[in-house]
Amino acid sequence: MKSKDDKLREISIAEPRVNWRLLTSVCLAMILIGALAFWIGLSGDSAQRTWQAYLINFLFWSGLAYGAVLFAAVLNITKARWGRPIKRLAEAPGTFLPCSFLFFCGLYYGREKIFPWLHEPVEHKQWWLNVEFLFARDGLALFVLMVISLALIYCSVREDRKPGARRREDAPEKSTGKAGAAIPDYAPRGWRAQQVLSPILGILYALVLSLIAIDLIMSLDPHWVSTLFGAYYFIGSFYTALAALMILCIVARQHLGLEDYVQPRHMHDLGKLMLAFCLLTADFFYSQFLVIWYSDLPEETRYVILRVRQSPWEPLAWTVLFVCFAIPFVVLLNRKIKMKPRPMIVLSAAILIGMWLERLLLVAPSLSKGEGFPVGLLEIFITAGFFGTMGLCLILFFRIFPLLPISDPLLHEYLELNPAKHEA
Amino acid sequence: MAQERSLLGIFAHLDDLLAALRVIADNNLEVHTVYSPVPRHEIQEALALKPSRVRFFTLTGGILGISIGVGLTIYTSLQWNFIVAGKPVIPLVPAVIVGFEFCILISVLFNLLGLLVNSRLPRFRLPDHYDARFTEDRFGLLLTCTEAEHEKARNLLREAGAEEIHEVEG
Repeated sequence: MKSKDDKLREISIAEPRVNWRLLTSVCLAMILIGALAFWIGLSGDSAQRTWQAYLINFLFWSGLAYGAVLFAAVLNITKARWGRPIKRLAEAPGTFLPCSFLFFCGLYYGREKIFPWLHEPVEHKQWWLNVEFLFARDGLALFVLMVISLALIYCSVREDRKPGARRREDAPEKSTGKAGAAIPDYAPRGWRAQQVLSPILGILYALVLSLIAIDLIMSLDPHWVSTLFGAYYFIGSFYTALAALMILCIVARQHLGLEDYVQPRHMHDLGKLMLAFCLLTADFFYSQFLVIWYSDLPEETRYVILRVRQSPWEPLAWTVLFVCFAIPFVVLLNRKIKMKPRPMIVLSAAILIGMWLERLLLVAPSLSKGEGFPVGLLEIFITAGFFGTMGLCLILFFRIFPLLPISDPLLHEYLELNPAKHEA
Repeated sequence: MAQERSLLGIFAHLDDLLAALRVIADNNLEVHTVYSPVPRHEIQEALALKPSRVRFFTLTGGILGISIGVGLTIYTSLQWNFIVAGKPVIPLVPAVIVGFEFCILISVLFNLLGLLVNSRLPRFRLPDHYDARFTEDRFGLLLTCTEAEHEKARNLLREAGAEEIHEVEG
């Protein structure tokens, strides 16, 4: 039986081969462009289009960030070993969450342009759909979810030390690796805290994101109701997060020096998860669609008919169906393609763009009535701004924290059975 | 054909079996059958088998299933020719569900059929060389070789760690 110290293997991550300065300046430039476009859009007569783009991006990127942290929580809940090397990559988008909260607060200033029930209150729904209650409950919900997500990430990273940063001289039961990193206790407190927080995060994720979907998307057409809408949004967000995580894995393998730890089998498993959630998202969409189609009630069908049969939304609806669901399904059935980086990056990027268009399809037809297809330079620049924000948060995270959850005991169990390639 | 000899090696450990498979592959001898008490993906990888033919059975079943499902929906709709709430007589949206269910059912049944056909089940007689321990705790490796390679094959099996090596007739 190996001693505890023998089990804690030395983990040495190669140096990232990335020009951080260049990436940071690109992200800052994108943020600047986004902010500028937002400012110009507000002052012109396309204020509603600007706020619409802001809302769509908020929904997309927040869903992505919360979904990514949920993936880390799911790894904890299931005590999964296979995914330990990519756990830190999944926690990385969590740094976007404070920005996401600020963006939500910014929505307050656009409330006149976004919420149609402000100007035409709906009789019996007024107690739910009024400004104070909506922002209070959504703000509180997002705040709580953000705090729990950040707490989860904090518990995960706090036991790690950046390799070479500090040496623990006077800790007899802890061994010191060659890289100068103090390998921490086998079951650190942070890990036990994660075991408590992860299920809470899982439940809260479903509740809070359902609430956001109902309040920020479904209320845009205040007379329309669909019961499964909240679930459709948070499952779609998890699907988005998986696609983003696939891209992060491939980037980590090729540029961040993790090719010994993040292996093709991780891409294979992530690809299988992506297939599962592609099917689940399509299934949730179809469940709502079939029921509305069958009962043919006018108050339900007008939402769907607007998006599926009327121009200019009909081509968008078909595009979303193919790019988000049909094509990924067919591609992800193949076993070998899931382990090839280039097709997977293309497919994941397509899924991300497709899901962004899907959010557009949910939001825009309710807001912009009869104005033509609202995707132009304004939307592209604002999206670039949000993309830059997420990129900057990721860069910050990767520069500060180690790329593997070094203090995670399950990682060491995983490495025992699957030693990193340079060791084997 | 008169030159072909068969050797059966019995192994107690998986690693010995895998080593033997690797050595046999290096020496271009032909593996006829591998007997194993448990399914192990390492054996599959070591044998480097071509993808199974069962998938064609499943594909046929799937296509047949979709046709049956959608065909049943269309046929039964046409029998009545109702227009309900403005929906078309032949509905595409719910036909997806019926087609999907039939696809799964028929493809699964065909998959099972393909499994039986491919494994040539049911087998009413076990081969003579079959050892009862192959379903207990021993691996078996049946290989065919020419008269000339017979001694070499025997040595390879012994070096890889075979507990017993038997000559097999036929």
